[in-house]
Amino acid sequence: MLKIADKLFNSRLFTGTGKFQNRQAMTEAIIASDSELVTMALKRVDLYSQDDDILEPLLQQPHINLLPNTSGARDAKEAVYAAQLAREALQTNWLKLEIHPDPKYLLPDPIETLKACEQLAQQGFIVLPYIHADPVLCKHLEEAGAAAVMPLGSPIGSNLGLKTREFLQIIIEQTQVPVVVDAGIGSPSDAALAMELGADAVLVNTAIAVSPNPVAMAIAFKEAVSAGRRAYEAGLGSRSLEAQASSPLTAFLDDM
Amino acid sequence: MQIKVNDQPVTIKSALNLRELLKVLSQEEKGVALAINSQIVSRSQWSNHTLADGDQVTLIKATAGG
Repeated sequence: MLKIADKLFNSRLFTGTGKFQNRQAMTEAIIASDSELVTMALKRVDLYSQDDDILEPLLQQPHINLLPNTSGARDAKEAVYAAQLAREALQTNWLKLEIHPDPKYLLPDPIETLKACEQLAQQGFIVLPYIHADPVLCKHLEEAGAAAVMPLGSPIGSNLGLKTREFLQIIIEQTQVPVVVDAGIGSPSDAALAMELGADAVLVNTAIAVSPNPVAMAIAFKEAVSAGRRAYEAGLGSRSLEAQASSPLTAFLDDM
Repeated sequence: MQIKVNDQPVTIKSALNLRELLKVLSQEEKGVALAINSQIVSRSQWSNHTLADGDQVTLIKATAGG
């Protein structure tokens, strides 16, 4: 079982609520995924438009914990304010800290993220910072009180997979807090690979939400995460360029 | 009395508290956070916090995101 802060998770697949076609598709996919930690964003209410209440169906699932994010915050000050609003809105101390000032690649700002993490951890938040796959930053965040780290595989929503693979391995080796690979996971095989590398969990949103069949894709991710984790626990064999015979190389063919 | 909610001008009849404001605006209480002039008002204080003329209200709610 995975433990983050004081919470135990049966499932190592975390999901998000963005980009689904509608509330029903979102709810069905999240339930099918067995995910127990689900991200949400915050927005200013538009008084003149009514939209789907996506919170209600999630609150009806007792096994689902909400993880509000600070998406939209451009610096530490905005992120701390967003975090405090999120805590009020969703009545949870859990927070996915994300600060990405550049709208094109949405890459996280490491300096502002570290500053905000320090402040928020002191204010009692359970902070899960979204960061680049930077092992040194992970150590700093750990010291600043992060409950887990969320390094990216590739840019948010890009579906490019684990472009940061070698750095994720270093993070997994060195970081004392749980490592959740977030962003860029485009297919179940990406998720399985992250788990085989020893990630504690993965967060998948876009790849499930934009699939023509989100429920089937959610199940595929669930199975991939569980297979990858099992493989990691079993222990993978070592690699070599040269062949290593798996059958005895007997000489009987020469006798014919 | 005139206030602004998320930068939109809103006229209210009397000095409402925040719980009453949400009712007037037909907004649910669940999943919502309120700040008045950039100061967050915690849910437990909504009934005690009365709006004043010219207040800037920030009304935030949970939405879909990853």
